[in-house]
Amino acid sequence: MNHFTFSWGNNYIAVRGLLRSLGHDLATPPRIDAAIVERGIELAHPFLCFSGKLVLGQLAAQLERGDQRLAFMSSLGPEACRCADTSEYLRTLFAGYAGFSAHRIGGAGFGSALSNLRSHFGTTVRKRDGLRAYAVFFGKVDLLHKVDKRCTALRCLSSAPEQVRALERETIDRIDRAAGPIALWRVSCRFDRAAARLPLRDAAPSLRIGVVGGEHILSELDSIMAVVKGVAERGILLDWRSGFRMLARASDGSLAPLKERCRPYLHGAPSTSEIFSCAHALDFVEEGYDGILHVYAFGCMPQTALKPILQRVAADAGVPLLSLSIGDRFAEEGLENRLEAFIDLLRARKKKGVSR
Amino acid sequence: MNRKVWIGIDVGSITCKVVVLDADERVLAATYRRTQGCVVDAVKKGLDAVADRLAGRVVAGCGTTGSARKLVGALVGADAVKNEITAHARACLSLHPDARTILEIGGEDSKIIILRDGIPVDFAMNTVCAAGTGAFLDQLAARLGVPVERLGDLAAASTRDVAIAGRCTVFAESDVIFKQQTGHRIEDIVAGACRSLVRNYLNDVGKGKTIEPPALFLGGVAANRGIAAAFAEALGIPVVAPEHHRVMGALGAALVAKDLRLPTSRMRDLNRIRSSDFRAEMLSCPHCPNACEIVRFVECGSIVAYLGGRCDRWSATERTELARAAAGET
Repeated sequence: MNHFTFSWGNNYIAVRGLLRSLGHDLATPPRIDAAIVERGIELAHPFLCFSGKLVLGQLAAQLERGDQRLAFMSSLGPEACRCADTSEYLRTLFAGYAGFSAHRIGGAGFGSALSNLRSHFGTTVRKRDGLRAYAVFFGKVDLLHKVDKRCTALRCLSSAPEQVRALERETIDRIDRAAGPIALWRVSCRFDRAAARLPLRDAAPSLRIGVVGGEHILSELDSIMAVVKGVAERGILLDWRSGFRMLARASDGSLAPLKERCRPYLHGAPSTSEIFSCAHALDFVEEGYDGILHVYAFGCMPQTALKPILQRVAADAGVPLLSLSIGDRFAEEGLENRLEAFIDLLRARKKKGVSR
Repeated sequence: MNRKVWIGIDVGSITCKVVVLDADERVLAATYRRTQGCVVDAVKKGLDAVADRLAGRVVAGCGTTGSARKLVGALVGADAVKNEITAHARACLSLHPDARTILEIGGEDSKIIILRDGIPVDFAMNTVCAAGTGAFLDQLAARLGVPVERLGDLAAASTRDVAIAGRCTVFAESDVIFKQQTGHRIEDIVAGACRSLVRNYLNDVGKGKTIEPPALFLGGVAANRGIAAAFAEALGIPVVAPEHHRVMGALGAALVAKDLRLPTSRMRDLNRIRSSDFRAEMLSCPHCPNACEIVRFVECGSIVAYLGGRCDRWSATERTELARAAAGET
């Protein structure tokens, strides 16, 4: 039986760790290319966001390759956007593929997560196995997040960015191969030691920019975020809170304090995505970041609705904000143009000593 | 006499602008021409047009801006390659230091830049739609069978309000057709279209921005008196198209190059640029499924530079000094 999923960057590695703990494996999702984009656009409802279309394109490519069972890691929270839990939609969309089935492998709390695991793998999955599988999953999610963040910071701070990229690639391979929590701990220690040995630049970061936005976009390493993260090598410290990590850990309990924090700005019943982005923007403001970069998929309703809210957050704090919508055009020129202008603006403010 | 000059080149989607500045930041020469799809030819012709003002002078720096800035930067050997938002802001702050808002409408993009206390503090560009840009006016002029340069005069002669849809160029054209069929005067239709363009701009690019006077109106479209009047009416503040409004991006690029205070410019000799068979070729990187588009610059049968790609493969191993400058890394 083949299992497959879609990739939000390298996060499929965490899903694969979960499956391997249960004696199964997961096919490596195909990297996104033009054919996958076109297939996704062809399949999707026109109103589905761009990232959703990429997911559909990836799933179709794997189905057409002969893979049959979808292990679908959805948000554990009850308020995720439609991109985070579309298993019902996928079952309908791919109903024509013999043997295809789609299952959530997350849930709101361990009880429902175990129940979802059993719906996928059968009732023989023991509670102890489930606990171990989720320990591996969360261990990998956290370590991937740590490596991604630290390496992006090091691309700014280190005088040898090519060594940083090599360390990142090597560590991600090790995370994928690690079989359990102890092996992951060893990978983490080894990474810390290697990162500490990297040569550092003499100069401090010229700017600190906090990135918020759609979870799928922030987790995406292969395409657009690579361009965004590229600015780190211009001596700019980029920081963000991992979308996938947040989604995987989201629950009513964990969302409540964030909701409370966003109360002056978010009203009604905001989605998980809106809560995270707004709370993270407020964190960045509080932590004294020079600017906020809002990155979201064209067509993503929660993030589009959030744009004016972030404008208010930024205006109240006197911190510059740039909202970048991804997927409305394929050329990277416009993206680079706006990023470069935003950095110039932040540098001019800093040089002039503009306070908030 | 200080013989140093700085050259700025702004190549956008529709037009190519070249400016020559002296040491006192006065404009010695400026040209504005349509690229007609041939960027390299347009730049060569632009430089030819200012060549006589360069006689006996020393080029101390060259800057490029606009959507083709990297290509042109590689062609001419630019010292500075800068995005058009920063370039426009730099020029306006030099010539009009009290300006607080820049409204700029180009061929296929439009932007707003908010200035406070001598620095840009906010900006926005159009995203998915070109309805609030010069392309809209080009289409309107073609539809009405009048030269685009005459639209401003026609709008100024309007005597009656005519509503034209502003959300979409296609719908606007449908509206124009309908108004023609129902016997409205062409002057009134043009004025209505100008107001619709301004509405679109303010609802898209200008949304959420604090627009305060003095407001400068830049770009080729600023020559259209009808649009300037529609802006002033919609905003309730005077909107001024300053001298050099058409070439302000090029002017800013020259100033950015001047700011570098380089001992000598890397700009190539004009004769060499003129005789160059420089061209850009696209290739798809075969090394991973991202299939990044890489631009390869070729001159006299030799590859002189590569640009593009999301990883460092091309920059680290095959990109030349020329392209590094073109990527804005000077």
